[in-house]
Amino acid sequence: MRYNVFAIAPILYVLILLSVSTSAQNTLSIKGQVIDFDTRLPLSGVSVSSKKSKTGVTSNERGAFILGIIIDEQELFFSYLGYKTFSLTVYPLEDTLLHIALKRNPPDELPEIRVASRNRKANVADLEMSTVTVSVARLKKTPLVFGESDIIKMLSLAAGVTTTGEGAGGFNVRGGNADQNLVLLDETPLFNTSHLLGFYSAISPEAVRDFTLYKGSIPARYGGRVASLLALDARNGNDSAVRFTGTVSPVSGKFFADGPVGKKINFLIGGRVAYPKVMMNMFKGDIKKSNAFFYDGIAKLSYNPDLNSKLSLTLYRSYDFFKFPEDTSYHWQSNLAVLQWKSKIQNINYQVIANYSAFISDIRGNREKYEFNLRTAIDQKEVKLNFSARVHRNATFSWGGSTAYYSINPGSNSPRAASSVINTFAMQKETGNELAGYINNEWNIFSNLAIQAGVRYASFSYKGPHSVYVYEAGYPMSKETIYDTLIYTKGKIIKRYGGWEPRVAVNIGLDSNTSLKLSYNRSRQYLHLVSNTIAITPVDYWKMSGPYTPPQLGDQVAAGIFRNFNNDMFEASAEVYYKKVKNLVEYKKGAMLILNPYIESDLLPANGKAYGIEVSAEKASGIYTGHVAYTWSRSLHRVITAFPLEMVNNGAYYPSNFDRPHNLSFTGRILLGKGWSFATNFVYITGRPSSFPDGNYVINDIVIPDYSMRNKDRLPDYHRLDAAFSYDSRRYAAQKKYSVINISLYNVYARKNPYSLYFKKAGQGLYAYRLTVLGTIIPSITWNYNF
Amino acid sequence: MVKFCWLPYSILGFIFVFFFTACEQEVEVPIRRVTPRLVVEGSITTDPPPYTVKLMYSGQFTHTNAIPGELYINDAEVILSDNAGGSTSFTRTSNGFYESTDMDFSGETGKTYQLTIKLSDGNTFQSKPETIFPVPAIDSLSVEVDPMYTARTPTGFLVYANTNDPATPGNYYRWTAESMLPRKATGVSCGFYCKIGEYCRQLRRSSAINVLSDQSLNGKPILHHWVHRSPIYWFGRHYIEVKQLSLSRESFIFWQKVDEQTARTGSIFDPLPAPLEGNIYNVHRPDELALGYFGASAVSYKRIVIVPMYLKEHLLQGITGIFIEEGDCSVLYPEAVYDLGAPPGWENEERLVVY
Repeated sequence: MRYNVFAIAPILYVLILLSVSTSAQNTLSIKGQVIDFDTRLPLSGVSVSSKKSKTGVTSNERGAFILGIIIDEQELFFSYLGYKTFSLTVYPLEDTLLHIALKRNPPDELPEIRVASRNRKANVADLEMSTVTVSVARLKKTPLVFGESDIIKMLSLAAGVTTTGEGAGGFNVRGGNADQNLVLLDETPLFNTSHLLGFYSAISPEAVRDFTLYKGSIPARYGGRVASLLALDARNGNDSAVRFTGTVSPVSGKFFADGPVGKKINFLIGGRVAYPKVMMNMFKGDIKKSNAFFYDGIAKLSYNPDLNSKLSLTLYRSYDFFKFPEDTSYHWQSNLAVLQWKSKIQNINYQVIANYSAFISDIRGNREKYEFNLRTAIDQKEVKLNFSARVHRNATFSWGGSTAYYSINPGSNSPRAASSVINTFAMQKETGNELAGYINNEWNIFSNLAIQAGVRYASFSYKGPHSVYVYEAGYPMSKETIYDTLIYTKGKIIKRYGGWEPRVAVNIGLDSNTSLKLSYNRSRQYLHLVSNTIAITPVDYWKMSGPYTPPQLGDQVAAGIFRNFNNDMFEASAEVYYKKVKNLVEYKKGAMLILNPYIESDLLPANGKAYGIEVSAEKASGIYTGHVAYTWSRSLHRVITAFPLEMVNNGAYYPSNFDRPHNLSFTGRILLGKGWSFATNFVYITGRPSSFPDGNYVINDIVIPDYSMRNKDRLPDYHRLDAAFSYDSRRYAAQKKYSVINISLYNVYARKNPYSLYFKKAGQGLYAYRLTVLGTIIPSITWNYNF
Repeated sequence: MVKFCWLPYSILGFIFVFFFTACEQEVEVPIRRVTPRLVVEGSITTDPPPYTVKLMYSGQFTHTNAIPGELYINDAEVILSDNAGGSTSFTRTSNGFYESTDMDFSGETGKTYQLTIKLSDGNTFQSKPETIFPVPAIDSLSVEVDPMYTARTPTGFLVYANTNDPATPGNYYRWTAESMLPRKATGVSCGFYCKIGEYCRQLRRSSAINVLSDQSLNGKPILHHWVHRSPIYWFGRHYIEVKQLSLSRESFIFWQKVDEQTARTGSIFDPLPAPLEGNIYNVHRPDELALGYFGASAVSYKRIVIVPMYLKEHLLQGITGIFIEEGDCSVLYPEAVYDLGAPPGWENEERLVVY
């Protein structure tokens, strides 16, 4: 048996009780009971045998057995499917009573994981395409940076998903901007997904169930972002017993508890507190003078009055603090609350959701006499209604609607001390509301043809109170070309946008193992993140579509071949996609984004196109499992303006910041037995586009780079290998007490992957520097204990 | 803003070793070759004339010492005119430098100025009209000792300005400063018991781009605003002059962007690289911009003489060796002259004793 490779003598729990009873002649009977070592429940059907006596019986439903043997030294065998065969040598002189506890075989994969991972046929049979499904159990066993398992880092191993670099927040799907991803936690959008300026994701994997990222065909009930949907659901508490899980890693501690309260209520509560300062203190130089701290917490209470109904309340909060050695500190937080009611009236399932989500970012200046607090914030209140009904044996019809109210503070600055010379200044708040409705029909027309056709209509109103500047036509917008100001009172609609968003998916079965899937998807985005940096930073703020900022409009078509091999042991797919996005937000050269009351005059609309091919293959079961994905893709932008001076790269298409043509990723896992497994990741990705100077000049005695062309250059390619050993002491899914230990090596061959290449003055010269964030091998260990 | 240079440092932890680096490293990146563009630098101020304009082409160099001579423009025709009909021509004084010729043509607050450059290739460039806005006086200067030093920079005096922003919104400032500071070299022998070139006074200009908008503090005092660092190489007085200039909104944005584009850290906070757009355009093709900016500023001055007393040993790290070079100080150090007394015109300036 393969487990013998790592075999150590199994520790078996044996209790032998002797009881006396006389017997006739040279035979006697051995009585006993066989139970499960862990659950202590009786096992029925266990075969109990003796070779010498040539007798054998099986245990009854109470686990009891009676075996007649001859009086001699005997070796008894207890065997049962899925359990380790146990042998016991006895020399009974009289009738004997035995209590035997059998241990389960270490499973190939824990049942929990097997249950959670989707049906293997789904790859071919489902209508869904362009999705990435992540198993949380597996996520915890992949290699980690500083011992933190991380949702976004895991996603970036999938085809079509990239990040800007290590330590940078957000993620990019199929060449899209980070603000084009709709990240939902229990149906509620999260406006910030970063901890520690982007080193980690804001949600602990322990808080969520297995999740799916939709890179293309987003279901009709969702809208509002043009690139992707990441739907996270907070884990429900279990119904059997209160359980605890605690995890310690070099940067954080996590603790979660879940379980039932009475018969119909269950709960989940927990969170993470990080202490990166402890680690930062280990370094010399500036980082030691920095300070950081973050936490996130979640609570979910569910009430199940009957089998079809469920009421749940989810609360989530995350908080971050980061201070640089200089005078600036950053504080940002997300707060979220969701109330969901799900039930059934006759054949109609319905769901009512009311939610609230807010993100607040504070930048604090701590310099004496200039103490300030610059706040930006966004919040959303939303009510959603969803219905679905099986209208035919092969057809499910769903419909619903939602209304959301948004409020944005694009920036307000205030003094933080009485002696501060800073004046209070607040940008005008933005308010808006969105009304949306959808219908969707999923119909398996024939056994080999399924269609999902849906349409969503969303209408967005930008509302007063607000003063809108009117700019002179025929000139580039600027403060100088304002000729009028229109004042709108509270609730007055300033601008309304809206439109149909069709979503269609077709699955054509070519044979039982192969299908062709096609999809078309349109969505509109009314919220934009204003950011003149490549990654998301705490300085960025959200902006609504208004009179000068039309909604982003994304259209995507995709086609793919999906095929399973070897009785579904291997899943493979190849997808091509083409995506067009209108009205992307780009920035004028020299744009001033912070506290700019004329911000619209520094923004430019741009069009984007992205296309690519994604090929992936997966082996999801067995001792060796793994996933390999290769993507070839492009993502290009083009600024639309009538004024040559505002044009970027002379008005031609140029690579977007997320254009990374080649992307290869491999993840592999080997079960070593005895609960041990080995996992490895390899990632190769073309370097990110960058702008290098094309000529220098001198002003004020310093050399100044002239960046006349955007993104004409590239950083060196990124590649990295990670490895991890993990140990899971569980032998069956329901086991209460167990440990998971993960020992990781990140960036095994210590490649100095550059985050950026930049030019800066030093004395009277201009020098190029390369910044590497995690340029060495990073070992870490994490211990998770459950009880 | 952020310096993410996390130096490698390892410790043996509980059962694992941490080894974390995030470091910047100098690399060679070739400069892409494109057509050279005209670069204009200059301004008119309320200071008395002459005014200077520098003309050159952009090129492939990374250090001011390495600018190829052919990039300087020496055959252009330069004219500066105001909105009252006055104008002055410029004459070339040295490689790429032009000076105004009419000594009666000087900058006045409230007037608008425009620079015209006729190149020998037939192209004419012109600056957008730039108005001189008033500037308040500098209230006072204060000085602090900066005990930080490296192998290249000694300890120094930090100079701060205090001023009052007027009640009107939309004031933009720029500060420049220079100091005359004592330097020492080993000197050269000029005979028996004779040494010359040991002690000099060197002129140091602040190369920092120091601009401020009153957007967040309109009408309030601008307090303790850093303007200069005068390095302490040797014992003696530092003669500091601080200029406070008014800027237009456009030139403020220009200088702020210059600073942003040259003071990168490579971190997530870096703005995307972008070309700097100035106010000089080709008259025949208005969409063709020259690099650089022609500004117009009102100036207020403040001078201070720093008299260091009992300079403590730790502030004079430089004196023990590395900053005393071998040779004649006036030859070794740029813009240094033999002198020990007060420079002409400084005899009656305010003195500040620093202990």
